[in-house]
Amino acid sequence: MHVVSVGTSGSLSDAQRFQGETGLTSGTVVFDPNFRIWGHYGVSGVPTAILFDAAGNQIQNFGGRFNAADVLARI
Amino acid sequence: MAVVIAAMLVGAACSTTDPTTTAVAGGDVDASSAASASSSTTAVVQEVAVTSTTEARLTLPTPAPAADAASTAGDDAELATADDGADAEGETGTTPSGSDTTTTTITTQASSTTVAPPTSAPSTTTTAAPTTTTAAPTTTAAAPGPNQFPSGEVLRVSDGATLDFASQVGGGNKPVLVWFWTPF
Repeated sequence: MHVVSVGTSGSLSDAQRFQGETGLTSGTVVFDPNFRIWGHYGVSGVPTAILFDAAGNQIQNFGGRFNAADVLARI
Repeated sequence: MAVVIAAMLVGAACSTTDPTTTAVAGGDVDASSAASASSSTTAVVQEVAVTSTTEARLTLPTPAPAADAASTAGDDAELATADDGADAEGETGTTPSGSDTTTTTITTQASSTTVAPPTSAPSTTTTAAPTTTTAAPTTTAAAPGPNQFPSGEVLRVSDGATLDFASQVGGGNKPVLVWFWTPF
């Protein structure tokens, strides 16, 4: 599974702290300063995670707190 | 008055005694006159004495002013004391009330200031995220990209490079988890 973390804005240290807190050791961390991606998916709060299949079809929207087991169970 | 009485007595004596006696009496009269004069002198002296006494008394007022001055000083002292007392009373009356007022004000301000930050800070912090995230929906949605992932410029945090989001998540053969987060 590929993980892309989309933040709003901040610094590298913010992203590193986020990775440290969530236990993410791989993946891509990006900033979406214009909220284009956030707006596209209608994300209005954090934490929010959306699971897609390889084709980009939305599988599950995890609004609020979630854990790895919940995500893996949907794959 | 004493001279008149003496003259009457002398007159009575003259009617019964000789002129010499009268002369003597006159002398007596003169003597009494002298005596009266001396008494007058004495009276004058007394008057002088009285005058001097009066002057002395009049002089007293000079010390009297001093006394007045002293009393004035006393008054001043009293006034000062009174003032001090008044001040003290004023201070005692004012300072505590002023202190109370100030303390109350400070306490009120302090309590307002103390209450404000905790109330505002969490509200602001709590509100910040929703406000920030709420603004997102109003932004124009990105156009759909390849594999239904939206295209949109994002910044890769690791190197600051500008990338297209769709190219970062699409085109693979694995599921993708897009995790939205904020640094707050």
